[in-house]
Amino acid sequence: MSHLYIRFVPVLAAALFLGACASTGEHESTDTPTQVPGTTEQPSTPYSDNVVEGSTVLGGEASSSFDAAVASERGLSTNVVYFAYDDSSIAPEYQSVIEQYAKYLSANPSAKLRLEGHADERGTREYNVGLGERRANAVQAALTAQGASDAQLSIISYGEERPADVGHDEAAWSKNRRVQLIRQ
Amino acid sequence: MNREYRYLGASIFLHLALFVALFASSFFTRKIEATPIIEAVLVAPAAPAAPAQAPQPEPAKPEPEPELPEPEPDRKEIERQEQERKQEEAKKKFQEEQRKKQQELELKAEAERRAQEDLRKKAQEEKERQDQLRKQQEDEERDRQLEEERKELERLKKQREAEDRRRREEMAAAAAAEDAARAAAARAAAQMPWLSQVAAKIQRNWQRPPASAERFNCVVRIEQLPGGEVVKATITRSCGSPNLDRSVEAAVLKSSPLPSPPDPSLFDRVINVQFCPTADACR
Amino acid sequence: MRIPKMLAAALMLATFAARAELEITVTGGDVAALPIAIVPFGQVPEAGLDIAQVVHNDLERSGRFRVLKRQDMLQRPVQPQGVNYPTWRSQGMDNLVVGQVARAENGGLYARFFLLDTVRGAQLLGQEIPIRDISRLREVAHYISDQIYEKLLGVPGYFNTKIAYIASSGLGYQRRFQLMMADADGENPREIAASREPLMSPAWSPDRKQLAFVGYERGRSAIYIYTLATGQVRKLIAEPGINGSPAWSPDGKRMAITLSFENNPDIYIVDLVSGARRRITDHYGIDTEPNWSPDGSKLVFTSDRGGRPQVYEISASGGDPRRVTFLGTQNQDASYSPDGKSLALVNTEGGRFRIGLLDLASGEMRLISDGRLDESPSFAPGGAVVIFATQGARGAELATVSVDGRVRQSLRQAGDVREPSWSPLLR
Repeated sequence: MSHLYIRFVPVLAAALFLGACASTGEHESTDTPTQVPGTTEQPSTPYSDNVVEGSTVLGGEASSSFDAAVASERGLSTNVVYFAYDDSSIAPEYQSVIEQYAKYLSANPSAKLRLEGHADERGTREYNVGLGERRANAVQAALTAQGASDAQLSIISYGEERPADVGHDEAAWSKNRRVQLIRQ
Repeated sequence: MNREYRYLGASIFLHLALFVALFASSFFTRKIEATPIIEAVLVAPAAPAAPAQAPQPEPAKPEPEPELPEPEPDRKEIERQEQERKQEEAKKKFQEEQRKKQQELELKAEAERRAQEDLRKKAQEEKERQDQLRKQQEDEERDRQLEEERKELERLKKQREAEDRRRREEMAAAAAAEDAARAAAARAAAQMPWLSQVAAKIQRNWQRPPASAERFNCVVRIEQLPGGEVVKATITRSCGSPNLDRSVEAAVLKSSPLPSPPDPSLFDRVINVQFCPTADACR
Repeated sequence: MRIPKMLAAALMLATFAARAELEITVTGGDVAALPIAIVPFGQVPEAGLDIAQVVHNDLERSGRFRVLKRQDMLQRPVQPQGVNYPTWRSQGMDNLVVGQVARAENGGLYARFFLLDTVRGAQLLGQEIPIRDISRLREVAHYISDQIYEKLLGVPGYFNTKIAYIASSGLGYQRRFQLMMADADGENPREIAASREPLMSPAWSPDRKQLAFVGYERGRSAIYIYTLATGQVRKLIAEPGINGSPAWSPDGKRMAITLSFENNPDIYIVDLVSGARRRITDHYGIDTEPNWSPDGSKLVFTSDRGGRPQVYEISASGGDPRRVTFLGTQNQDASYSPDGKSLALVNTEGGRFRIGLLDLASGEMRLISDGRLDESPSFAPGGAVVIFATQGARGAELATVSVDGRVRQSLRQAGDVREPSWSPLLR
């Protein structure tokens, strides 16, 4: 029975979220709360220490450059890059995310970014730690190529230990093969 | 075939060996001969030394008789005659003494000569005795050798005869064995279907313990009653581990009663069962 | 030559004929689980644990015994005198265990058991074990299992060993990771370490006194060593990047690990006495999951240097690795069997992850599990059984499978459990 719970809760949550904001991409459902039966409705953000929430960030920005800031933060608000199975190449759809973060880092030399590499549950655990690190390295390379400095970036791989979705199907796995970009 | 060559070779070798032995023994006998010579050397110097030790005394020279003048017939003559007579007497006496002396000397010489002769004779006799002894020894040695040679020939002959006899016996035994084997083979062939049934039943009841050796070859000796009831199962060759041994023993015990042969005359009380994991491990 | 030979043959035949002893040959024989019946022990009421049931489960789980179900027992003797051998023989039960837990005249409890060979009607074992602590009756049961196992198979039993594993519960920040230790049958679990950050890859020292594992702290990973006797945890190594896959050398003096501080994950060997470190592989691919051959001369590891992750073998002193897996789309996380003849590994074929046994001599692979996401195989001492992690009905769980793949059993565990590591025998 509990097995069923685990399988369906994220799907249910994703469906709810998708219903609420239809424009969001499938992958962004990562940031949606995965509710555990018996816990509060309070959304929990599983892995990132600092997941960007549009409103809180915006509060601190100057109103004069409001549009630019909005655009910039909108770019930074997508803070996850997803990958194909056993692959570490960054798909073209994430180039804009890389660009936004590279711009942000080069514009803010004191800013630091942590890259958390993850893998889906398939494959062995230690191999997946390697795979997660390889994905984080790919993001790091893309960022430095576009102006970020190595000193601003740190890397950690959790392999499959911190899944975004605890399901055991491709829908869950696709959300777990990722690098999270966490501003510090 | 080979065996005959071997015998031929052996006899040639034996003859050669004997010849060599004979040749060698001649050296041996000469050495034995030498002993009397050495003894003779000890004796021989005594014979020639004897004259030197006792030189032949020269025969005593008669004293030269003094030429005395004829006495005169008168008083003077008588005196002369008396004197002459006395002289004559003295001369006679002297001559007599001389003669006696001479005689004694001669006797003595004769005795010595005799003694010398005796010694010489004794030496001669000793030599002859030695010669004879040597000759006798030589004869004995020759006889002995001849005897040995004869005995060796006799032995070889006997050996050859024994060999021949044995070969004949072997041939006979082989023939008998072949007959027996043929009979046994015929019996074995007749027993085959029955024994396959026995083997199949034991095989069905044999469970090798997991994780046991993959290579072993052991034998269980079964004693059964005519009904096939196993009365004794003894491991005569171990599989190498107690667990495998127990498994093969159990296989036999669990197969009791064993299948019976269709013809009761084919029944054998004892069956030795060889167990191996694969057919090639049995070889 | 021909004639004497023929003669000899004829004579031999004649000898046989004269002896009149038949010779037959039986080859094959099934390598089969040993039939055994464990009769419920006669127990005083205060001995709560069903010892016979524990022994039954132990022996059955090993895959090397076929244990008679209780309901099929036609008699239930508690001592050899009461045994009717033909009854057990007729049920094909070659081996029989009877026993008691009783109170001695001095008031102390003891367990007494007999292992009987019903085919020969002989006693193979008979022991009396004083019970000093009734709460440790399970250990006594495992001890009895060990004795029976060793007597009938000729190799030591492994039932009084431990398993270490990782458990987790909760989600997100509430997720809690635990390093756990339990009896080999999954009973008596206890927590060794806990963290809000992942714990991974527990590995027993060969002397069974220490456990190495991977932990995360403030965004960095490290290899830790836990000492059972003192409960102390010390950090062995914490380089930037990956610190993973600890594996003790068979002599316990070195540890193979994965480090990535020199750009990408490679295999290193650390001397645990001097701390000296030696890089064994140097490739831009992922090299990880090293495990030692029983003689300590070689390592197997996972590498994707050929494209997909596969298992490679390399001398413990370095050199050129040799790929050993070619079947399936990928193979990972290999470890040597105790006899060094085969590897247990995670084989992927058709999107399924299953535990495979690779015979190193023949290159033959046998899949011994049938889950979809099975991983982390670890041999029991003696190599009769492999424990692994699988997705069960209640989530991630641990299961054992006999190396012939015949007997699979999942272990009773609460929560998500994974990465089992079987302890060595206590020597």
